Amino acid sequence: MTRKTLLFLGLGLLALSLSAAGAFPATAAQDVVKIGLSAPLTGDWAEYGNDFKRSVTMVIDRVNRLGGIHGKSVELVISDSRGDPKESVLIAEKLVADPDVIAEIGDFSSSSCMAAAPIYEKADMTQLSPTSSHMDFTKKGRNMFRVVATQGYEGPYNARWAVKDLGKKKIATIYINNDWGVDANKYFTQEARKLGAEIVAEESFVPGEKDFTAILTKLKGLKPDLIYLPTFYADAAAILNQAKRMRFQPVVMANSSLFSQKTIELGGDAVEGIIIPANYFSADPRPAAQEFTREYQAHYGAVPNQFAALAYDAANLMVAALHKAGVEDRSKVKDALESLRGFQGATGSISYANGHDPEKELVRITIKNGEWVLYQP
Amino acid sequence: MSNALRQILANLPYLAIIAIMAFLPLVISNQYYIQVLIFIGIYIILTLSLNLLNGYVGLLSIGHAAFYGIGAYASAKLAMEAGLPFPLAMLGAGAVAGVFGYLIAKPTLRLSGIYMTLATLGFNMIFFLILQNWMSFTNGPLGIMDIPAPSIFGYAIESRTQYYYLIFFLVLLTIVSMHRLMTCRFGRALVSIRENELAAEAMGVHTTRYKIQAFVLAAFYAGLAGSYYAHFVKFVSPDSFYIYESFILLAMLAFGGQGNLIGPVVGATVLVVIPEVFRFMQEYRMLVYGGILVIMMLVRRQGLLGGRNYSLRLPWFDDQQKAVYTRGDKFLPEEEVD
Amino acid sequence: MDFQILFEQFINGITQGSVYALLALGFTMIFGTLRMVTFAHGEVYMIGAYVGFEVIRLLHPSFFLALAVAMAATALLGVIIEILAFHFLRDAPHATSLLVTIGISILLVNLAQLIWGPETKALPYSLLDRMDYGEIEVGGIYISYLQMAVLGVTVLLMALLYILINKTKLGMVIRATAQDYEAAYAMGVGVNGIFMIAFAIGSMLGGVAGVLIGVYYNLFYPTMGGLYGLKAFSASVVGGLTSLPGAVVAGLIIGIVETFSVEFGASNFRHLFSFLFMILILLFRPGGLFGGRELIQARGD
Repeated sequence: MTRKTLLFLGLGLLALSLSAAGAFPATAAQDVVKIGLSAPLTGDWAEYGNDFKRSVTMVIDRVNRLGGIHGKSVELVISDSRGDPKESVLIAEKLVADPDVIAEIGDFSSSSCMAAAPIYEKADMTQLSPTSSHMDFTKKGRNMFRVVATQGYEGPYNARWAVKDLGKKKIATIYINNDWGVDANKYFTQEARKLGAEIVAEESFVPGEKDFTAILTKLKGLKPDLIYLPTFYADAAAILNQAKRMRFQPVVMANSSLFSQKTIELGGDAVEGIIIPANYFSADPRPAAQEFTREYQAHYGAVPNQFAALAYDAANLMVAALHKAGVEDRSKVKDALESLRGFQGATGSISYANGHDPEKELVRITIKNGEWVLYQP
Repeated sequence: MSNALRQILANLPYLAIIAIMAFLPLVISNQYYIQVLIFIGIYIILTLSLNLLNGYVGLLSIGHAAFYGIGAYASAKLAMEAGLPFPLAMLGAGAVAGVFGYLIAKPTLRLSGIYMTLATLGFNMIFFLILQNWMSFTNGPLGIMDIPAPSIFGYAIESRTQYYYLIFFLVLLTIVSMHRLMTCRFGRALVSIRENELAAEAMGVHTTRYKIQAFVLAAFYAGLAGSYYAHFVKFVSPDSFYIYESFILLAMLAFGGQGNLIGPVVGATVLVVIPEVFRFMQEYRMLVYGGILVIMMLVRRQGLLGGRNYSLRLPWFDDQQKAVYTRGDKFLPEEEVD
Repeated sequence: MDFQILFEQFINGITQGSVYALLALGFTMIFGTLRMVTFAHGEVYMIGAYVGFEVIRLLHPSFFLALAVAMAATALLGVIIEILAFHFLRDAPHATSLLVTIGISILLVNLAQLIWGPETKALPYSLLDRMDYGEIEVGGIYISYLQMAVLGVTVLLMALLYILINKTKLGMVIRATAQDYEAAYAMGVGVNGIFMIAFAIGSMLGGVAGVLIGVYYNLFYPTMGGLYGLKAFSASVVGGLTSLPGAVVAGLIIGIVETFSVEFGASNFRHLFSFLFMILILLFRPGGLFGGRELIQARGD
């Protein structure tokens, strides 16, 4: 090819891609209201993002079957944030620019949520995160809400359970070194120290780490009464399996993030007896939880985990708020959320009357004979 | 015709493009599109900076995201902890990145080929791991939040449009400064090193010194881009500067072409736009980047517009030949005469 | 100091190190014979692990069957990579091939995500129990046969490869091709075939690593080749890019240093060491611990 041809080809491609980007104009459809969903569908947190997607689509499909909201059918604008805060920012900008999008559900990680928050706040669009647990998230604006109990709540709860209820004095923690794990570890250890326990070690690991033998051997030497694991299920399964091989089996308490069938699947025998608090528990007798478990299982043929439950509640909260606020004005959604009363979600009762961080009731569960059951001391 | 008029007419295509880009935000009201254009701008600067190394000098650096990250974190810290105003923070960030560029280049440039490349990889990984674990300085995986928006001599930059003009200005500055560098002795020395290092050395070109300078400059520009990024997204975290980011830059350069100033621009633009346009093909996005690397290298390894001197000057009005010698390219098996 | 704890950490370090060593072996084999760096080796390892996973899960919980199938699959994958990244680019500078292997590595990770899904998978414990061959006890520490197998296989493979490369006719042909493939071609060697064979052998090593390490940790996920692949890279460089014993020794050293760094308080920074060593070696002794003073250049540089 001659160089002129190539040059014009290149410039043509440039122009084409720029105009292609402009070829998707924002048409304002009249009978549709859109809710944005920003979640990590690929990347490290892909499975949790897909949990969100499944729960929320299930709710929205049901809502549409029952006639939509205020006569309009609901369209979910699903965007993949890849677990990258920068992507969440781009998605936020896109959602905010679309006049049909009335509110947003997402994201998964706190850093993604907090990076995008200023954009939602500026556009006065509600950002409802199912799982962002960093204390500062809801402080970023009047539009920021969350469903999960913050680590600032769960950490001290677990600390009290470990130190006061179980009487443990020497505690070691192994935590995942990302925005969530660092936070979770901090609040737990802070409260535990305040209550008089000794934190003999706080070991962190990079996401993707598989070999914990070095950490475990070190802890073995320090002889703690209890190990606290703010991690995700794959790491916890690996940790406990390796600990079992080394004949090191202390009492293990973990974070609510571990509630999932996969913990048992991946953990086998090694996870017998671990205790965790839960936002949601599949055998929870509460009617709202049961209903969710049934619906999810019927739809997808699998037992849901707490991330799916939190996303489910987020979707239902959003729908309830939209019923109340109408679908015309973005700024009314936050007021509607704040005014909801008596909402019973799969993860407990949720109310934003006193702030955007719901106070959740946590239920204590453990694994016995390969099943999650209520914890009996 | 007067000389000035001839100059303007000769450069008409460039001026036209600049004019279009300058007036663009006035016609596009969709803030999302402006946002995409801003990211295109950031990646243009990054890809141009990588081009200095891979395209002009002929090194292969696969850890370039490290300098991007150094610029971002440095700018955030300078603005937030040292209280520097934005222009100083940005220059400072570029300088810090440049210093690191020097520190890396000096000892490793005497390594050749693959060993140098591996060193850049190692550096990127070390940088990432330090970012993730040095909690007290970098806040670890939590990242640095609430980075202040830029404010230049009291003029605050807040809206997307204002950010756009800032990056537009920076991109122009980058291209113009690089063009000047490449047409003067510095650029010609770099090209001579790329074409045949032994011959260049024999002709008295101090190859190591020029390579180090190129490295420092490349790091400096990347640092500037990083600083802009930090004050734009107002949040930095280690994940944005992992080697995958370096790979994305490599893909942009590989696609658009290296060795001149237009290829990187095209590569960055197309590869930023494609994931935006194809957002509905969510799972396939990274497949596209990987596929591009494989296909481009097999089909046209110098990139779409690589290996040649492209000039948008209109020859009819152009008396003077400003020759930038970029004929031939290390990636071409033999030279094609055009 | 509690000697039992230290001894246990030492065993941990050797185990961890032999994982790196096994991965580094395949990589060194490829560079040593082809003089080409491949970024996709971590992903070849990952594919080998998944293949082994499926074989054990779906066909029969037997190590040897899994190894055989994984080796075949990764050998095939290796040939494909060789064709894409090196065959057509024989005359190109090394950088081009490197970029292709980077692209292939990205493709493989995403393909694995599409095929197997992004979540972590594990073999059901009922199956694993049928494959578990027990453990021995040394000084109060329990070492499983699988653990020892990882190290044992690594050393065995290193020895086998050494014999192959240095004592057999095939090895001689490979060495000749590596030294100067045009001359070998002139002498009647089918160089394309030789490159493919060498690459296939190196990739098979990755497959073996995948099955062994995958079953040992019992965690399978698409990005498993990432960090481990990079560290194996470093181990290879530290040992000397063309030295098989070097790769093994370097891998073991890195494993031990990392483990003891955790014991003595720096668990946050454990991953730094492998890359730090790599940079230091590149600065002060680029040939690696076992390499000669003169650097073996990659082809095309």
